[in-house]
Amino acid sequence: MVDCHAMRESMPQLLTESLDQGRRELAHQHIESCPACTAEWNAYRETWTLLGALPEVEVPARVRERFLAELAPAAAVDNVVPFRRRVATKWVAQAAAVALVVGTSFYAGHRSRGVEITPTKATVERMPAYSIAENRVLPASALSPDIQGRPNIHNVQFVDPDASDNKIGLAFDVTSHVTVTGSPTDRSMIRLLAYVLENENSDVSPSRTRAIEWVKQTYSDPQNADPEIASALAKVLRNDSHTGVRISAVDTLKTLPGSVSADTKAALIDALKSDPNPAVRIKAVEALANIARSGATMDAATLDTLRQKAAQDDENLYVRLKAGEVLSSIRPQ
Amino acid sequence: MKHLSDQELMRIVQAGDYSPASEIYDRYSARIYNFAFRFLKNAEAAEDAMQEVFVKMMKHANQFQGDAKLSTWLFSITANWCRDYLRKADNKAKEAEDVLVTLPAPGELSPERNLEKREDEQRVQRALQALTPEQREAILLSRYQGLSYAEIAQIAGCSEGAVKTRVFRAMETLKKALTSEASGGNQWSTVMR
Amino acid sequence: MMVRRLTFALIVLLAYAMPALAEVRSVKRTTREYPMYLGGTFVVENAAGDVEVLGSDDPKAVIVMEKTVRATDNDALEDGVQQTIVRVLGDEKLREVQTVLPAIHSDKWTSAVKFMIKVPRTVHVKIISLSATRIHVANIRGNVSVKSFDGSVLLDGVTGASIVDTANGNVIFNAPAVNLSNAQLSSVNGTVEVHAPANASFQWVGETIKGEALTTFPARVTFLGTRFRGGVNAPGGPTITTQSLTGNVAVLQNGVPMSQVKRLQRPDTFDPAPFGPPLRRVVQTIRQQIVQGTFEVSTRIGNVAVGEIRGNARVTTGAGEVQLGSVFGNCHVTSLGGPLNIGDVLGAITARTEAGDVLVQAARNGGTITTGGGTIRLLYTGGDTRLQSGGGDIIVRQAAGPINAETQSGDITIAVDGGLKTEKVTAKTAKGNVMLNVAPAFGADIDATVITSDPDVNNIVADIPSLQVRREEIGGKTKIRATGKLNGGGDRVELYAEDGSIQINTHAGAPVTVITR
Repeated sequence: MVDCHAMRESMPQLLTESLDQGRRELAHQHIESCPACTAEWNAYRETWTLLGALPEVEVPARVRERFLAELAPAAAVDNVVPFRRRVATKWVAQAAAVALVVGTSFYAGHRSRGVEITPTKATVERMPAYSIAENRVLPASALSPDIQGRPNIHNVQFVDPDASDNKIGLAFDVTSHVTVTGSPTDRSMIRLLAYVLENENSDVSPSRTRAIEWVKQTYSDPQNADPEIASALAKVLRNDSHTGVRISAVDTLKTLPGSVSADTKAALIDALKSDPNPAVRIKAVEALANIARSGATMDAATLDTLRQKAAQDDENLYVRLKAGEVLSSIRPQ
Repeated sequence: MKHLSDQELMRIVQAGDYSPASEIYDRYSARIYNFAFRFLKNAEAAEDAMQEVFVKMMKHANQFQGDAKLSTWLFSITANWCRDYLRKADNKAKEAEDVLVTLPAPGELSPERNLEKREDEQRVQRALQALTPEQREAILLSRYQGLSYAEIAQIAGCSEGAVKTRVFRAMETLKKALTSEASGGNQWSTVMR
Repeated sequence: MMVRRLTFALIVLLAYAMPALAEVRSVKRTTREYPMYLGGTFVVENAAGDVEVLGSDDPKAVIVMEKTVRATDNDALEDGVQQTIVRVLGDEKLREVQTVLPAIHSDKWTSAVKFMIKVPRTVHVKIISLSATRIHVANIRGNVSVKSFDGSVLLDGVTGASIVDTANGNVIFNAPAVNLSNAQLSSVNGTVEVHAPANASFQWVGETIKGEALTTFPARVTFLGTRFRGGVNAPGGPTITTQSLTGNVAVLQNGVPMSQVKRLQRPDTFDPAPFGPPLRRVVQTIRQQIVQGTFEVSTRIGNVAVGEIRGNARVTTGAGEVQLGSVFGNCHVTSLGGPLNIGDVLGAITARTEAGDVLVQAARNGGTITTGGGTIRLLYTGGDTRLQSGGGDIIVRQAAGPINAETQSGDITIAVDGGLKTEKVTAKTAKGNVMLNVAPAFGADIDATVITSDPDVNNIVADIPSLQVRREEIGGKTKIRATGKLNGGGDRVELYAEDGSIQINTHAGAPVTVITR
C-alpha cells in the first residue's frame, strides 16, 4: 500500500523526471489506480504548465555596462587604446603608453600635415602614407576582447599581411596608427570588428560599405562563422541611416553561414517590414529565405510579417513574390 | 574564450586576470537576472543583485572551488543577496510596486488570447509572491532553472529533505492559487490530455 | 477534384514518411459537451491537426478530439502525450478550445489533435491553425473566420460572412444555393476556388499575381492593375473576393466540366508571356544557353537567364531576376523588381530595375544603368555612361569613358582607366562618400563639394597640393569646396557629397575591390 501523501510529495520530482526509474514506475502505477491521486496529479501538471506562462525577462544592457565598468574604472581615458592588458603581456601596456605620449602629436608625427591653403583650419590632407616602422602591430591574442569607453577610431583599413597564414589584420588610428592582427576567430578580433561595424561615429575610411564587404569575404567562410559578427551587422541594418551601408549589411548577413540568433532574425524582419529602400527589403526577404531553407523554424510574428508582405498591394512585386516563396519553404514552429 | 569551460575561465580570474568577465556574464546573466527578478519582483533590485553577484564572483573568485559548478555558486550568492534584501524591512514595502514586465505577445494571438496570456502571467506572479521566500527560492530554482534537489539544497544551505518539503508546500499553495482562480466566476478551464 | 487528389496524395506521402520516425503511437479519443449560446462564438486554436466544425440544431457544443502522438520509443511517447494539452476555456458566450504544445520539445515525438466539433449552426466560428491537412466548416449561419498556414480549407454551405486567410493552403468555398454572404478568401501560395450553383449571383473581385484567373461562368470582368472585378449573373449581390499571390483563383459553376473553363486575360503591356493552357502554372524561368540573333522576351512574372545573345537583347519583366551572359548587340533590360546581372555588352546598354542590385561586367559602348534602390556595380565601361540609384552604392571599377553617377544615399567609387590622360566625371551622392581613383598623370579641372553637419568627420581628402579650399556655413551646415587643376588641368571632374567625404586618390594602382557575389 502506497501512502498517498508521500506520493504527492514526490509529484514535483515526477514532474521534473528526477525520480529514479523504479520509483517513477511505482508512482505512475499508483496514480493510475488511485482516483484521488489521479486528480491530484492532473492538478499538479496543470499548475506546473501554468507556471510556464511567466515570460523570460531580458537583462537590460546597462547592467552589463555597469558591471564591466566597475571592474576597470581606470581604463576609460579618452583617446587611449582602450584595451586592458593581460597579465602576461606587459609590452602591450608599454606600447599603449607610447601611444598616449605620441597621441597628442599624432598629425604631426604620423601623418604629413594637411595643406593649408586658406587661413582657416586645414581641410585638405595628404593621404596617409605609413611606413611599417610607424605602425604599432599588436596581436589580437594579446588584447582583451572588451573594448572600454567609446574610442574614436579613424582611418580603418583591412590588411592581410600574409594571405597564406589564415590571419587577418585591422589597421586604424586611435592615438597612433595601430594594426591588430590575428585569426578571424580570435574573440578580440571579432569584438574589434563588431565595434568598428556598429560604431556610428567611426569614420570608416574610405568606405564603410567596403569594410562590410571585407567582413563578408572573411566571415562567409564557414570556418570563421561567428554569431557576434552577424549580430553587429544586424545592428548596422537596424540603425544606419546610410542606405548603401544597410544594403551591404543585409547582403552580407545573407551569405553568413551558421545559425542565426533571434536578434538577427528580428532585424531582418524589421528591415523587410519597414526599410524604405526596396533593395534592403529584397535582400532581407532573401536572407529569410536562406534561413527558412536551412530548416530553421519561424515564429508566429515572422510568419505574420511574411504574410502581410505577400499580400501588400503597394509593395514591389518582387518583394511580395519572395515573401510568398519564403512562406512556401517554411516549417512553422 | 567561448571554447573555455566555466572552470577554466574561473582559473584565469583566480590568477588575477579579469578578461573572462564578459564571457561569464554572457553565460549566466539571463538566468541569474530572471531568478532575482522573479524572487524579488523588482527590476531595480534585480539589477543591484546582478551587480553585486557578478562583482563578488570576480573579486572573491578564490572562494570558488574548482570542482563545483559555477552556476550553483552564482545562484547561491544571488539567493543570499535576495534573502538579505527581503530581510531588510524597508524593502518589503517596495516589493509589490514593480510593474510586471512582459514580453510583447506574438502577433498571431488574438486580442482575447493576448489578454488571457497577460492575465495568466499576472496570476502566476501573484501566486509566486504569496509563497514564503524559502519556498519561492526552491520552486524558482526547480521549475525555471531545472536544478536538482541536491543543487538547490547546496544553494539554500539546507538538506535535500527540506528542499523536497519546500517545493511540495510551494506546489500545494500554487495549485490552490492558480487552479481555484482558474475555475472562479463563470470562466473556467478544463485540461485534457 | 484536383484538390482532393492532392490532399489524398499528401496523406499517402505522410503515411509513408511517418514510419521512419514513429515506432510507437498513441491515439486517444475524447468527447466533451458544453452548453453554448445560439449567438455565441466558438474558437478553435490548433497547433497541428485537422479541424472540422459542423453546424447542428442542438444548443450545445460537442467536441470530439483525437490526440495522436507518434514517438521513437515509449518514454518519448509518454513525454509527447503529457506535453500535448487540450484546454477548453471560456463560457457559453465565448468558448475556446486550444491545443498547447511546449515551444521547444524533443524531436523524438510529434503530436496532432484532430477536432470534430458540432456547434449550434447560428454561432460564429473562428479557427486558427498552424498546421493541418484539412480544415472543414459546414452548415454555419454565423460568421466564419479561418486563419491557417497550410492544408486545404473547405467552407461548405456557410451563409454568414466568411474570411479565410491561408499561407500555403488551398481554399474551396462551396457557395450555398440561397443566402450567400460576403466572402473574402485569400491564399499566398495556394489556389482559391469558389463553386457556385448556376443561378448564384454575386460580385466577384479577384487578384492573382503569378497564377491565373479562371471561370466557367459567363463572367465579364474589368481589370484595374492586377485586380479585377465583375458580376456573376445578375448585377449586385454579395461580394466574393478571391486572392492568391502565386496560385490560381477560380469561380466555377457546379456541374460544368473543367474542360469549359475560361481564362480571364489581363490586358496588360507585358502579356505575350508564354502562358500555358488553363490550370498550368506560369513558366518560372525562361532559360536558354545561346540565342542566335535578336532575343526579345516580355514576361509578367518570371526569371530570365540566357548565356549568350548573338544580336540585340530586349527583356522586360514585371518581377524577376534577369541574368544575361554576353550580348553582341545592344542590350535593353527593364524590370519592375528584381536584380539584374548582365555580362559583356558590346553595344549600348540600357538597364533599369525598380528595385534590386545591378551588376554589369562590361558596357563596351556605355549606356544608362538605373535602379530604384540597390547597388550598381559596373566592372568596365568603354563609353559615355550614366548610373543612377534611388539608394545604394555605385561602384565603377574601370571607367574608360565619361561617367555620370548619382545616388540618393550611398557611396560612389569610381576608378578611371589608368591609361586615360583626362576624362569627364560627375559623381553626386545625397548622403555618403565619393571616392575617385585616377592615375598619377591624370589631368582634370576639379570641383569637389562636401556639405556636412559634421565637418570634423567629413572632409575632402586629396593629395593634390594645388587645390583651393573654401569653407562656409550655410543653414547650419558646413560647405567645403575644393577647386583647382590637376596636372595642369583637363576635363571637368565634378564631385559632390552630402554628409560624407570626398577622397581623390592619384596613387598608381590604387585598388577598387568589387565583390560580385
